Amino acid sequence: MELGGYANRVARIDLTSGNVSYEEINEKDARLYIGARGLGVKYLLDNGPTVDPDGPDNMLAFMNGPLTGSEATMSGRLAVVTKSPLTGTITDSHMGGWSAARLRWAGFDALLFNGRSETPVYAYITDGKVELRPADDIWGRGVHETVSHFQERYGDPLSVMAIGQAGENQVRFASIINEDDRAAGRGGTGAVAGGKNLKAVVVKADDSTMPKAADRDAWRPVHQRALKTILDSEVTAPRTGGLSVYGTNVLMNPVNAVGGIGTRNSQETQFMGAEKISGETVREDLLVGDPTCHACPVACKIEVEIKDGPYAGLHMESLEYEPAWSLGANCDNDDPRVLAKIIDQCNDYGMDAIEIGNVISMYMEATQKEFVSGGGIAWGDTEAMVEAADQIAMREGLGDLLAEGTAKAAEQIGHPEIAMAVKGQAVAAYDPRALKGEAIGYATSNRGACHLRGYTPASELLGIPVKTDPLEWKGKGELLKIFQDLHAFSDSLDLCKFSAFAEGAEEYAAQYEVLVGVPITADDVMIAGERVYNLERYFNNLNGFDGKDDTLPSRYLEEPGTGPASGSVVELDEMKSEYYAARGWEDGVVPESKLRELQIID
Amino acid sequence: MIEVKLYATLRSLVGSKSVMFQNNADTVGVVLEELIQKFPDLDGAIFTEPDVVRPFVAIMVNGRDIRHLNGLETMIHSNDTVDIFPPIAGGSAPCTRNRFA
Repeated sequence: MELGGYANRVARIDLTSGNVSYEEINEKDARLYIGARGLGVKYLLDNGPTVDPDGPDNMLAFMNGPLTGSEATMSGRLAVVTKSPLTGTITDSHMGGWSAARLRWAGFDALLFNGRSETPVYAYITDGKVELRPADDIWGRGVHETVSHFQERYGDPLSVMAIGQAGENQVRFASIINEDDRAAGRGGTGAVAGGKNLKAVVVKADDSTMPKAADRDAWRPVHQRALKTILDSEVTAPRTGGLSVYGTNVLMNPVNAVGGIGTRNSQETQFMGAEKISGETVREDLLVGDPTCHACPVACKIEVEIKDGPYAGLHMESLEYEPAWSLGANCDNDDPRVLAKIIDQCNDYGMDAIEIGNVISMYMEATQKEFVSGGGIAWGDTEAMVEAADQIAMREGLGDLLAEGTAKAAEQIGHPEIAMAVKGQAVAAYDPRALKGEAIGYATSNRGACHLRGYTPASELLGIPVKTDPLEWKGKGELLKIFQDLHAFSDSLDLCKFSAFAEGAEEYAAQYEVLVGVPITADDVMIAGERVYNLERYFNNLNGFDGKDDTLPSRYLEEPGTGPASGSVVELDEMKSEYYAARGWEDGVVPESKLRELQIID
Repeated sequence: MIEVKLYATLRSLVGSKSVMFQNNADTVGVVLEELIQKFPDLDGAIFTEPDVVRPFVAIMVNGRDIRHLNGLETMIHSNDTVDIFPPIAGGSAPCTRNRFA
């Protein structure tokens, strides 16, 4: 392949035989699907879309994009792409920190794992080579101990992307976590690794091999322009912008103000204790540091230390908005110290901190309504929540049920209607009755309920790029498509999604063009994003997903919100019609003509 | 009484989370004028010029953004709450804006 930017080296690792082979990237695929998320989905499709996600034939792809690990601002991201054991759909989950950059500096765009090792192994990556080494001695340990083990063995600089006990026990929402506690959090990527007996990917590399644009004169102004948008933004500006000062949890108060905080498993939509778990309070009471990722001046991570109470002495990162909601308001918990504790448990066991809050809140509602026998878990019982996290990771007692995830566990209880989930994955921290863009966003997301496929709260809450009324459904299908396509492209570069708070398609196009050497316009960016989104949908269609799966929990359709969202329910049918028209889909299915138009099929 | 709640970086400009006003009924614009008289540092944080709210600053009355009500002319009454958020997240995304327009 002749394109710039890429390492042009992919490792295929057969864990069954132990064989490792290397290949170049197919240039046509790189041009069409860019990298990271997009190219990863293409590899998964070629691997066979209908494989059993729990079986050895499923592929686990660690995917960099052409900008990963470069000098581009916010380029410290990689995507883990696989078929999700939680949803049965395609999924991709991105992590920050330094692991992605180190993987690129070690000479790789992609690591494609197939098969299943008979005994636990880890992949050791350095200088363009992959070796499988025994991991028997660290199997059964948490992520933090695993990281320390490898750091002692191999020294700095080193990245470790590992699973904890949750992945080993194939908790359906297990994550892969790196040395900075950054997570490929959603979709159960850790369960796929655990099923393959793959404990970790260890990368030894330093920035002496950081890729740089061949044409320095062309790169400098392009890079400076993108960087300036980040530095000048009132949101991302280091030390002054809201995201930089308070982290993502700066959203707790405004979302609560509009009545968008699902409370007690979304039985209500406004939480009286929101201020106590907000970014403002965490900064005032608990913050001790604000670490960052490769090439990022924003430093949105929130490092905290607990000074009192049962978890005194706990030092962890990062206290983010999504788990602050899922484990906070959604479970009727207003103690940020408990949030820190359970997020840290999730980081160590390797679990999705969004899904776990939802599955616990679902069980709390089951307790409230006496759907379960025994003691259950009462609203706000934080000790029981901490204990449940232990049990889920180890699949012990009640944990074995909850480890199946919100939707499957509710089904087993006999009350699927109390699972706030779509296609098997639980919702995020924006109640769709108060923010209608998220209604169609959750319903149509290709990886199950997700706020990151198309971040419409930017428009509904903040006025980016235009202010839309959060309670109005009209126009949201079209708005969502734009966000989904733009994010699909940045996820394929792979730049942090927060770049979109300042940058747009033009900045993305300019950086891609100089680094990769392919002329590209902002229009091309949107088309490439659309192609990636349709490729994912095509993968799901081949697995039998269609319009019937683009749905929402009945609660959002029938039970009105509270507070400012009083009286509001979701007009799902109308929104789906508008969205499908914008996409050119037929009842959730990509027609053949669309696949041809986007060059997905010949 | 009308309560004006302030968030994020705005709090450091007034030294508290909220300010109470005795007004029984007034427009948002009038209440904000009184607020700024008390705390002049808020002026530049909320307005670019008189009656022009800074981009991405969100002003809500009982949880509804005044951009979807009657702007600064929106009436507020006793026991209402006004929330004011600085640009906590947002940006330009120029290409996307053009597309949506």
